[in-house]
Amino acid sequence: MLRFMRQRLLSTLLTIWATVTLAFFALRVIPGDAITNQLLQGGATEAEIAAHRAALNLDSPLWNQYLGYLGGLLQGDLGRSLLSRQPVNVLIAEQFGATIALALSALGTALLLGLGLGTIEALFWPRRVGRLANALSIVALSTPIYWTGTLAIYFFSTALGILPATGSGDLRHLILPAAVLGFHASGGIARITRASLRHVLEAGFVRTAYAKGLSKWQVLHRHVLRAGLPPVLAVIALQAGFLLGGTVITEILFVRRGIGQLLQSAVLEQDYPVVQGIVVLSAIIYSLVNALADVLYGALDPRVNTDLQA
Amino acid sequence: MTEPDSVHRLLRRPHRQRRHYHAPLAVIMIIVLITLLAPALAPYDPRHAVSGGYLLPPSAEHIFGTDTLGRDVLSRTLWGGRQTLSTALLATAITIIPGLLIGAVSGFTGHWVDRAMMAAMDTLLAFPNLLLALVIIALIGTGANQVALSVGMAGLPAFARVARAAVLDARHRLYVQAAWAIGAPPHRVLIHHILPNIMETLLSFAAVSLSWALLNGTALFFLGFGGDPSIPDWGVMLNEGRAAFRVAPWIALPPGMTITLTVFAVNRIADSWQDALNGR
Repeated sequence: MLRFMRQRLLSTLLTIWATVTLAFFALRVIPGDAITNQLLQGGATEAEIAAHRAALNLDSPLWNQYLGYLGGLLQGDLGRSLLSRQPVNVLIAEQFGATIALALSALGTALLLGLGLGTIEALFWPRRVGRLANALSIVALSTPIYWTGTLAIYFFSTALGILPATGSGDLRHLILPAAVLGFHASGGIARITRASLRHVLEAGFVRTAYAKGLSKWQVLHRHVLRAGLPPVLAVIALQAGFLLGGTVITEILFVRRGIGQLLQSAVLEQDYPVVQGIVVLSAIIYSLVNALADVLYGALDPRVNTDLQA
Repeated sequence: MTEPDSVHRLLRRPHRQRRHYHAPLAVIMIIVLITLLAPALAPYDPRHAVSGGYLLPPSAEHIFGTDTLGRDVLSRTLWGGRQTLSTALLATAITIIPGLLIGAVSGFTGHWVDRAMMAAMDTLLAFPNLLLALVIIALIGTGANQVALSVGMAGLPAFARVARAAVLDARHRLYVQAAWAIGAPPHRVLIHHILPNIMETLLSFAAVSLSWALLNGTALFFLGFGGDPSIPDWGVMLNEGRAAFRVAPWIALPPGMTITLTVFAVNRIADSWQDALNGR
């Protein structure tokens, strides 16, 4: 197990290094000298541009810049915004808390809904409850976030007036965005939960469990869920990627402070260091979550031989 | 739920009835047909205000009413469908054509080619999908074609992985070994023996890619990365309509419902193909 964890950590670090490298070279090489163009459009003089390029270390050889970038990254330095000239890590840190609060509460909602809907669907399929759960998970997968969000704002804020529509003050502002984003993330979780549980329900050991006289809840609790849930872990980790993207749309829709607004304006203004910083950070979080899910899977499911398969 | 006796029923029950994809396919064909005929069907110019005025509720003259700038919502929905669907189709082509090439070559050749290509795909997969699309937009700028390219590129690594897995699986089957045994050249084995047999897997995932392209493409338009805002797109229309939703829900309803219906139909087709593959 330890060897598996060590190897998984190593491969995660390799992936992170690759994403950082890709992000660095994509932004430096593909658009030519975008930073100069940016400054020229902003009306900077030749001397200012030269000074700025020197400050950004853009006049040294590429490998030198690359090493400098990696070195800075290890110390948490993500460069400076081209527009506000503020350090990117400060810009991100200011917004990070709000986004993480949204992402985590949406994840909680998605887990409750996704596991619940998936289990109901697997157990009660031909009946009405099962069909309803199925329909809900399909709606979650087929509707754009901004459409459900618009409708949710209309019903819960405009019509009923029980929740604030936009803004990011207290917890009440968090409920609607977290519910909408979590609902959409639950679709994928429900699908896999249903498939996994159905597979288990047809297994011989479940029949045996009934045969030896266990009650339906004991069977469900001790046998079905225990065997059926590990595969769901991998999907939950994948939903983390959906959540990281979904927060951008949700934050903009609900006019919440957070990384989303920062990223939207950075992309529109082609403020590369900010975009790069946010995306590299998301890729790191996403890779770590997936590595964690793999390790947990190995711990939960004894059939995964972690010592040999590493 | 299941008492011991109903467990029997559960076990003997035929698997969920084979879902038919004819109904969702018909829905998609109708939507495509209507948007193709938009120039003939649309009663007004989607870009310019009509003389009647703005925020007009639905009436005989304007079936879906008019928007905040006084443009006919029905005409914009019809033309917007052209934009949305063509962006999504272009994005899907950008996903599946290189994705299939990379996956097939990778799975078929193996060795270092496979490892190098899959390492590249895994690096792309390490970025959350929508954020990868946003980086590409930041690099190449805004616009409808740019949205298609970025959404397509963001979907590429997943498709390449699926294609590779399918090719790898087929490579060890008896019929492929038989093809080698009778001396078929590699390209013939790949094109005539492997590809036809994995076509259903690929089509099913292509439908999934299309539904991602629809959702992500309209999301990018919604976020304002589609360039010229006067070009109607369902994502753009929703962004304009949501601000006025309280006073004029008729602006956002048509694009909201049509996106949902389209993605829903595409997902149903993907599901039914997937079920058929799994022998359900």
